Amino acid sequence: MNIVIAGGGKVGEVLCRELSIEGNDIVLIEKKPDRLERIINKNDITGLAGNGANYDNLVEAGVQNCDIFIAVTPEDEVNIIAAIIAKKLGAAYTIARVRNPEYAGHMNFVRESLGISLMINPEMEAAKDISKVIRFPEALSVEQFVNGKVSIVEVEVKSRGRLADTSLWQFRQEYGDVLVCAVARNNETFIPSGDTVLRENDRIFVTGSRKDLTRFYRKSGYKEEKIRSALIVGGGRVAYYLIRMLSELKIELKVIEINHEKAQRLSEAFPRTVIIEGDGTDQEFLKEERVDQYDSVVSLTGVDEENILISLYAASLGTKKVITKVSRTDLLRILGNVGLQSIITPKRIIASEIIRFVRSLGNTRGSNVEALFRIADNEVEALQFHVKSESKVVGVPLKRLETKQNLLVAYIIRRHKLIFPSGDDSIRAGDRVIVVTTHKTFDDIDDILK
Amino acid sequence: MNKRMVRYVLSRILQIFGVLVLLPLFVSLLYQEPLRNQVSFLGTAALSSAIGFSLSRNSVSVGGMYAKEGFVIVSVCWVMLSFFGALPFVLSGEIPSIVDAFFETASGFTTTGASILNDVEVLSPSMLFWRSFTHLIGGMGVLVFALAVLPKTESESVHIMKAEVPGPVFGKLVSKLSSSARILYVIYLAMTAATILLLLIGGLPLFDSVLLSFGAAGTGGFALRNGSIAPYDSLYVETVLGFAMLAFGVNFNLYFMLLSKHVKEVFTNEELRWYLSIVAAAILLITANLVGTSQGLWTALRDSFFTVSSVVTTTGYSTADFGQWPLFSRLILLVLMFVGGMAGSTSGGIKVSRIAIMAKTAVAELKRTSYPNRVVSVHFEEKALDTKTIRSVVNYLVVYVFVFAVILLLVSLEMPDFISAFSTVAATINNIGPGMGVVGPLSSFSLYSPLNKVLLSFTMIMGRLEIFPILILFSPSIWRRRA
Repeated sequence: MNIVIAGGGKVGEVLCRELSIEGNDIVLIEKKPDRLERIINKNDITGLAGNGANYDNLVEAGVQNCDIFIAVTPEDEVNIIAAIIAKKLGAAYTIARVRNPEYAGHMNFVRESLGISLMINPEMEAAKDISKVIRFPEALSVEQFVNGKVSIVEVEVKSRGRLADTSLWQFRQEYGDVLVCAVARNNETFIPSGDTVLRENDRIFVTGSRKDLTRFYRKSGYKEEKIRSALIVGGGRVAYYLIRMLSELKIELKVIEINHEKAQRLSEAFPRTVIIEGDGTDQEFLKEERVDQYDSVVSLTGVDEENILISLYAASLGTKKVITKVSRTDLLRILGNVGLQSIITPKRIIASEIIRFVRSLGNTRGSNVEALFRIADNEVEALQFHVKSESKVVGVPLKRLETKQNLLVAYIIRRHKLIFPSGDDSIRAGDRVIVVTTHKTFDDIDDILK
Repeated sequence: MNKRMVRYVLSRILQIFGVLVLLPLFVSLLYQEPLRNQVSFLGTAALSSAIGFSLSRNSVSVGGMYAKEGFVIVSVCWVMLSFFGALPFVLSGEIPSIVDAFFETASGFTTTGASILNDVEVLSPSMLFWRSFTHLIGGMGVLVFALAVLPKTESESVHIMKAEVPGPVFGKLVSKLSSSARILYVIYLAMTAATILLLLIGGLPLFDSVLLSFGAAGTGGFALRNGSIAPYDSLYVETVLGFAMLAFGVNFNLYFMLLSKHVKEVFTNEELRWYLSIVAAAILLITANLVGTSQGLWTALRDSFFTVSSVVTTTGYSTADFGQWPLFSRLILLVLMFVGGMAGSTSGGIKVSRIAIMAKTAVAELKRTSYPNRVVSVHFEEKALDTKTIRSVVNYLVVYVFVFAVILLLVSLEMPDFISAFSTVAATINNIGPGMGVVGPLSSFSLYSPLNKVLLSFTMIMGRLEIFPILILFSPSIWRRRA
């Protein structure tokens, strides 16, 4: 596909890399020549230096013939204008990143009347993820398929917990219809087989229906009480969306923001929420605000290091759920396993969102990606395909399919029914199939075959 | 809120209280009173220390103490001590009703001086002593006393002191909080001792001198004779007490500055100037008014000096029944009731500094209205006031008016006329004591129903602690774990 990307920031760079690896032809429009040069040197793309909303630049980049136009410059207005021009020039699909809460309220109107196919808001997506983690306190992270019927949850194998030192055969017998579809162990992620034995500190990704997962939590000792209160440190855009979402869940909130104007604005927007002005990295101050009494602590300041420190402090107090916003994920690799539980990276969330959208358009051979989630620090993809009759996998029992390594057919959904497939089951046309894999270029169900 | 911390501090206060209540026991022994009096003091001491010890045994000082905890500690402490302080009266049978005794003790600790007793002279000496002694403790603050005597005080205790010491802004005298508290108490007790001495020189019996000095020091106003100070009929006593009351209505920080040889700062102090000007103006106006209505100049000056100094410092001693004075004089006294003494003194009321700041804010507003583009800043004590202070002063007045109105409404159910109802609330919330009309200086609060007595007791505590701590106590959100 021909893709034009305007804006070579963090997200733009990720998109360039991943989409070019998948074989798309990419043209990047970036204002700063140095930055453009760097990205072009590292990735197999072309580019031009200039304003992404400029008509001439867009024509030069070939927008009129492109399949997808993606605008991810730092300014919302530039993104919106660029997307509109691209649409008028003839781009088939347009994607714009819009972060300002004032525009976010009328997302649908803007999208429909201006013809922008997808408007994404990284902070809103991050807030959604956080609220999901808070709603499902058992898991470190949660992804949902098929309108929430199937979830993939991340849990940590606790030392001396019931899961430690069990093989997956035993696991299957013990917990029934849930499946371990990926294991992350010491910076390495793999798709387990039946012989895999779980070890302490493994992070495992378990998938199943909500009912089965609830049973799994209970039997394995992960059952947690509901989260009823949250202390949010940092009153930026993510907090703005999060406050609204959590207030609807009737969660008692307190927000700490160091900047007076920001705190004032938040208190104007949410008069019923307790907004505290102060330094959230000051432990004495956090103590005064009774951080130890909160079920969950969400650190959302603009500085990764501060977020990590706040979360470590909260974790040391035994807070049930600690959620950390980290933008530069390489920091986590240095820190290793330091006991941070749930980590949210807005940049990554929106990159996967865009890639999911691109992939779902990329179907040429009969079936397409309906949903895509990247789990385990982006190492593993879980994809939901809608299988059409032309596909090669139709009608063949799973055990006879010659599939690639590191791949797992987790579920088949047939007419709203969830099938936990065995080797004898076969995929039929019209089924939805969930595949978990460490390969990252699948955009068709046939890609699972060798 | 950190309830364990609150419980811990309160239990320590109860232990201290258990020791203090032994003091009237000695008076009782000295006067060879009936055994029942001694048992009631001893019983109160034993009960409060027992509760104090049992509460503090399982709780250590855990976690932090912050503004919320400070406010709750102070307000609970005052209600609690008013209750425990009432026990000797009830146990000895001298004030049999617990509600009456609670009112009397709350009135004592808050240095109001309002009484439910129609005949004070029936009380035995130890009870009279205890009553006046509560003025002495309450004047400078129960918790300030605790801070002064407790060996170990954390830096966080500043929140307690902030909540208890009256006035819009709080400043420590020296860098150490416990030293500040000690210095305050030393100055306070020294001044009390000086008053006692002066009264003794004037020929008053020791017992009378001590009790009247306690009343003047705390700006309380409990006397030991019916008719307050009038029965002594002595110009000397009135002059000494008049000046003593005025002295105790001055910010104690000024005395400390005087001691540390900053004489010039004291006399250029703006609040002090306001205070003295208000007093002087009131005396002159009332004297002129009284002279105009058939009194001699000297009698008029004598009565007006004593009454003004008693009312402006919210003490409540009386020599003349000012209820019989002309309306003009009575209204001036009513205004003085609201003004009160200086911040950081033992007096009640709105405080001179707040009045001054409000007056200046009003003038600034006037300037702003006529010159919309002009930048106007309000100066007080030679410093530009930040908007936060101005806001808190103005808002204090708003809350004060609201609270006043609500209590006035509740009190009006039992009062025959407006001036009685209005002055009841004014006299209690400003910690003065006697009001006007049926609660004037020659009568008492005994005609109120028990319900209103409890309400007025809380009004007095509210006035002493400047309203907010008690309001905070009744707001449900503060009691939440995470607040």
